Order: sequence, then structure tokens, then C-alpha cells
Amino acid sequence: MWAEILKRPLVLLAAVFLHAALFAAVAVNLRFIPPLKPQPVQAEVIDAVVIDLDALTGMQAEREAAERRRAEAEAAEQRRVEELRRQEAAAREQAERERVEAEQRRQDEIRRQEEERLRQEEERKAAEEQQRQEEQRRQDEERQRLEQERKAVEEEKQRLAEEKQRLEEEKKRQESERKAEEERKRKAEEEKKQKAEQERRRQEEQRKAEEEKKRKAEEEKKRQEELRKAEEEKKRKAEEERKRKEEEERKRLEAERKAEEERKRQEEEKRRQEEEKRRAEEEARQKAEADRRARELRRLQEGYENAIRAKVERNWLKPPGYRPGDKAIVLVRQLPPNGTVVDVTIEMCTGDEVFCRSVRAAVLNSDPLPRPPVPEVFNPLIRFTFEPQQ
Amino acid sequence: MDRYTPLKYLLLWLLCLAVPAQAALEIRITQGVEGALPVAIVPFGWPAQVGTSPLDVAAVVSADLHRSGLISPLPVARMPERPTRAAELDVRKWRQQRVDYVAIGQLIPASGGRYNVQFQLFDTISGEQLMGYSIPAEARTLRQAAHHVSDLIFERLTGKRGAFNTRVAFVSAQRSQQGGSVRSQYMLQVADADGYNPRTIFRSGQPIMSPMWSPDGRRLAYVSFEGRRPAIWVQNIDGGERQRIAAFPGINGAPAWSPDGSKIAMTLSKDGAPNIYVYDLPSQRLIQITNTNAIDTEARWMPDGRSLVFTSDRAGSPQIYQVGLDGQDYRARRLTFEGNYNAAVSVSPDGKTLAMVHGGGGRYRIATLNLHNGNFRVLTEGRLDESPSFAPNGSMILYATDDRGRGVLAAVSEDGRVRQELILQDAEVREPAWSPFLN
Repeated sequence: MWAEILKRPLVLLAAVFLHAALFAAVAVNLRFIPPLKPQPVQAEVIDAVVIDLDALTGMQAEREAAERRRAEAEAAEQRRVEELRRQEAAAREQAERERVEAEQRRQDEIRRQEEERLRQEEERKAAEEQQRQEEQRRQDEERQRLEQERKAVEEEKQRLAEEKQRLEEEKKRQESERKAEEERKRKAEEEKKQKAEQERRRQEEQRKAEEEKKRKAEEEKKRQEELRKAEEEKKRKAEEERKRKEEEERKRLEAERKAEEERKRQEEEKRRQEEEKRRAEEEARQKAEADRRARELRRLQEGYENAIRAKVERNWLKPPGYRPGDKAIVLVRQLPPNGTVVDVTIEMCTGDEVFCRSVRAAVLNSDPLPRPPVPEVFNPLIRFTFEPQQ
Repeated sequence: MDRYTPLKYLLLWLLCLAVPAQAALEIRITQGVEGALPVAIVPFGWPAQVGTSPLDVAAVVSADLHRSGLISPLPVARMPERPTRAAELDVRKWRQQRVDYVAIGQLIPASGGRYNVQFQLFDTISGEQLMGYSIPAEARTLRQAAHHVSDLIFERLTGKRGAFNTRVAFVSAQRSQQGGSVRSQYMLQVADADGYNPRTIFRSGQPIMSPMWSPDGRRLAYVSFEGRRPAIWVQNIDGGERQRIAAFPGINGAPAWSPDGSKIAMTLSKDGAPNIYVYDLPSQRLIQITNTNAIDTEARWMPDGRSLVFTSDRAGSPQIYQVGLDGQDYRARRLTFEGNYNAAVSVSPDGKTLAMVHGGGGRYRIATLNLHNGNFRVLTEGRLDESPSFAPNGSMILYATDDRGRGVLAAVSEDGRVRQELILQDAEVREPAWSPFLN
């Protein structure tokens, strides 16, 4: 605490000063309390200075007294602190003592509770043993009672079985009596049936003998009929045989005639086929010759056309400004045999003047046109279609 | 032949007279040959008492027609006669020479240093006159009049409009020795389509690149490095007024006029990699078309103005792509798949064919891609051919090539059949651009 105070002497000084001021104020107040009471004002004004001087001296004395009181207060504080320490030690000691006593009491209590628990346990075991013996005794009595009941039931059963046997023997006896009666009735019935049957057989045999006699008469009649029929059949067959033979003869003659005809026809056919073949061969030969000539002519024709086309194309200066789709048709008349161009007619021209002039120049610059390889392919009229491809 | 054959033919002949409705032999012709029309341009008459002719008109016309690849003029030395009037012409002689058409004419001097160029074109097959014109000219415009004759004959014989009376723009470079240091002088020039009459319209000590004609043929857009930074300029050809239209940080290159002349496509790298932009001239608004980290450049307009074709190396090597301008997402589609290098595309006027520089085997040659059937065709045989530019009628392609280490201009017919260098002055010439039709 002193170290704290020494660290801050200003605080101490302020505290001291505050105390002094407070004591001074108290002293002045004490001194001024009487003047606060209503008093004659005039008389007191004159004494005012004196009072002030007194007060000043009083304040000096008061400061000293305050100093003394402060020392006393500090001593008292010291004492108070020591007293507090002492009381605190005493209280700690007291508390320790009380704690030991309480512990002692708690131990005693635990021990007491343990004894009580053991005692109750023994009591509980004794009661359980008694209860168990009681139960044992009660079960034995029950077992004996059940045994007696079982024996009584057994005796009752024996009695019921004997009764049943007796009733069955009675029933058997009645049954045998009923069967003897039935046997007797059945034999009487049998006898009656046999007699009726013998009578019915006799009548049946009589009816059969009559029927036999009738059947034999019928058979005799049938046999006579069959004899007659056989005779007729024989006659018919002879007639048929005769007809068949005549037919066969006729057929044979017919077949011979047909064979002859067939032979003649085949001969004719063969002659005809040979003729046909000869003629076809001749025709084929002629046709092949004609084809060959036509092919040859066509080849020459194509060659002739190609020669004309090549010459005109070689002489056609395609104008630079032609438009795709420009087309011209030029009809040319030429003279045999040299292909001299005698007339050029532009039948149609869709291009501009330059294009139309170019196709005309192409034909005229190709004069004379190529000679035909054979007169047959010569055509005095040629129609050129100019259709430039890009 | 047996002795009856003539009789047979006579009979046949009589038969066909008697029966005119006889079925004719039908022959279909589907193939022709690609060749040049056999034509003769007879040297024009000139009154001998006036001195020598100021211009061999027939020679200019023959050279023009020959360069097209579609017409093959007969050399003067092989001509059976040299008529200058219709009355003197005997078409049978020309038919025997297998000449289908003959042009004859006269150059007639008129008062005040003026001339009349008169000519007639005959069809030797029918013997009839196909055309006859009289074209007035001055000494200054005599070559133009001759080119006009070429245009008229070309159109009549091929059905295609002639492009001989047009011009080409190109860049020429000259090195000069000045006090021990070599100085380069760059010139933007415009000449006739055959390379004659070159005229310088802009001159600079710094490089000039990528000239491109406006659709009306009056202005050129080009890249100039004046001030050592590239910028795109538009210049009037006649007045000479210049206007700078793009000078962003980085690349400002490859201008291309839209078909309606209202927009210019260009290559800018202001946002990083070179990408294609379209600059709207009236609103001065710039729209970004491509946005890749690859090099996208050399945009050209399709004739309908609805898409651009350009070079991009987004797939690793330079190839031609097409990007539609309708809609918002500008998705590019690859067009070329032949070889590892296809660049510097030019679109034919009908939009059906692309010409480009095709690299392979250490050579760079001019090739065409037919967009309809996918046919890819290499047209030239140079070592370092570049900057193809279609003629306004699509019949020829102008390009720059290397002749014994010197840059010259050449023209190849669209089918690759005829290649010819243009006659130009003694300078290094590059980056040609063929003008549109001028009249």
C-alpha cells in the first residue's frame, strides 16, 4: 500500500490537502453555526474582523489538530488492520475445527448407515427362507391332490368300456336274426323266376321251327332265278367278243394309214426347214453386207462431219466479249465435189455484231470445205450451230 | 473414182436444186480458237507537196491495236497494196492474205495548223465498209486523234470499248551528281497510255509513292515523304493545287478512291499495326475497316463500291482478302490460295478479275484470278514485276518491271498473249496507275 502511495506523491498530497480543507471547513462551520441563528445584526458587524482573525488562528490550530488526528487515525487504522488479521486467523482456525468435526460426523453417519443396511439384509434373507419353505409345503399338498383326482378318472373310464362291450354284443345278436329272415324270402323268389323262364323257352323254339321252313322255300326259288340269269350272261359275252374283234381290226388299219401320213409329213418338214435355213443364211449374209456397208458409210459420214467441224472451229476466232448463251445458226450451201461455199445465210444470231461477224468469218475462212470421202456422204446443205462453251 | 462419179454429183446437185427442203447436214460448233483478229492498217496518205507527215497515224494505231493482244495488224512489208482511198482497195487481195479487215485513211492538213484524220474500215469477207470517220486535230492533239482511231476500230472489231486514249500516272526517279554527293529527284508524272507525252505534275527530293486516279480522271491521290514523314495528298492534275488529307503518326499510305469519288481508302498505323481505313471526303470522317495486328494494306475498291480487296499477312504470308462495307462487322474473307505471296491487287472494271503480284521461286510476276471460276493465271515472265493496274476497259494490265536493272513500265494483254514495254524517257520508273476513261 505504501509503495502504491509512494508511486503517486501528488495523490497523497492532494488527499492530505483535501483532508485539511475538510477539517478546516468543519471547524469553520462549527464556529459559524451559532451566527446562523437569528441574532441582532448591528452589533455583530463590528466584530466581524475579530471573528476573521480568530478564525485564522483557529484554522492554524485546527491544521495542527488535524495533523495529530491524522496520525491517530493512521494508528487506529493500523490497529484495525491487525485486529482484522487476528480475527481472520481465529475464524480460519474455527472453520478448520468445524470442518474436522463435520468430517467426523459424516464418517459416523456412513458407518451407522452401513450397519443399518446389513441388518435389513439379514432380515430380508430370513423372511425369504420362510416364504420358500411355505411354498414347498403348499406344492406337495397340491401334487397329492392331483394324484387322487387322476385315479378317480381312471376308474370311471374302466366302467364306461365295460358298458360299451355289453351294448355291442346285444346289437350283433339282433343282426343275425334279421339276416336269417331275408335268406328265406330270397329263396322263395328264386323258385318262382325259374318256372317262368322254362315256359318262355319252349314258346321260342316253336317259333324258330316255323321260320326255318319258310326260309328253305325262299332259297329254292332264288336258285331257279340264278340259273336263268347265267344263261343270259353267256349269250351277251359271246356278242361282245365278236364286236371287240371287229373294232381291233379297224384300229389296226387306221394306225397303219396314220404312220404313212406321218412319215410323209416329216419328210416334207425336213425339206422345208432346209429350204428355210438356206434362205436365212442368204438373208443374214446380205444383211451383214448391208450393215457393213452402212457402218462403213456411217464411219465415213462421221469422219466427214468431223473434218468439217474441225476446219470451222480452227477458223473461228472466238470474240473476247462473247457472253455465255450466245448462239448462231448458219446455213451453208456447198458445191460438189470440192466443197466450194457458194452461199452463207445467217438464219439466227443472238450475239452482238462482233459475235455474228465472227461466225460468218469462221465459215467463209473455211472455204472450201473438206471433200467428202465418198459421194454418198456429201450433202450440199450444211447447217452450223455455233454454241461456244466456256 | 469411177467414171460415173461426176454424173452422180450432177444428179445430186440437180436433186438438191429440185428439192430445196432437203434435210441439211447438222454440225455443232462449240470450240473456237483464241487468237488475234487479222487486220491491216494501211499507212495513211499525206499530200506529198506539203513535205513530210507530222505523224505516222497508221503506226500509232497499229501499235495500239497490237498491244491489246486481241488484234494482229499485218506488217506493212507484207501488204499486197497500199490504198488510201476506198476506190483503190481490192478486197480479194486482202482475202488471199487472210486479212479479215482493212483500215485505210489520210491525214489532211487544214488551215491554221489544223489537220483532219480521215479513215475507213472494210470487212474483206463481205467487202462492205464497216465505218468511216473524219477527226479534226491540232499538231498538239494529233497523237490523241490517232488513239481515238484505235479506240473506234478496237470497239467495232472486239465489241469492247477502247482504252487507248487514256493516260497513265507513275513515279520516276533520277539520280544526279551534285558536288560529290548523289541527290535523288522524284517526279510524279502523267503520260499517254502508250507512254508518250510525259508531263511532271509534282517534284520532290523525298520519295513519292502510290499514285491513284480519282474516278473523274482529274485528280491524283498519292503519298509524299516531303518533310521526311509520309502523308497522303490529293492534287489537281491541270491546276496543280494540292491538299493534304492524312498525316497521322506512323504510316499514311496506299490511297484508293471509291468508285463514286466520295471516299478514299487508305492504310494508317496511327493505332499500332497498319490497318485499312476509309476516309469520307465530304464529312472528313475516318472509319476503321480492319483491326488486326498483321499488316493490312493496298486496299482497292470493288466496282460496286460495297467491298474492298486488300493485302494482309494475317495468315503468315501476304494474301488477298475481301471485306464487305455493308453492315458493321467488316468480316474479311481470303481470296487467294495459290503460293506464298499474293499482293498489290488491282480489280478489273467488271469486277470479275483480280490482278496481283504473285511471288514464287524467287520471282515476282503478274497473275490474274478469275473470281467467277477461280482460274489463276500467271501472265508475265519477269523477275521483279510489280504494281499491276487494269486498263479502264479491262483488256490490258499495266505494271512495273525490271529491264536489265532499270525500272520500266510494261503492258500485258488480259489473256497474257501480248507483252510490251512502254517507251519512256531514260529514268527509273515505278508504280504505274492507269487512268479511268477520260471522255
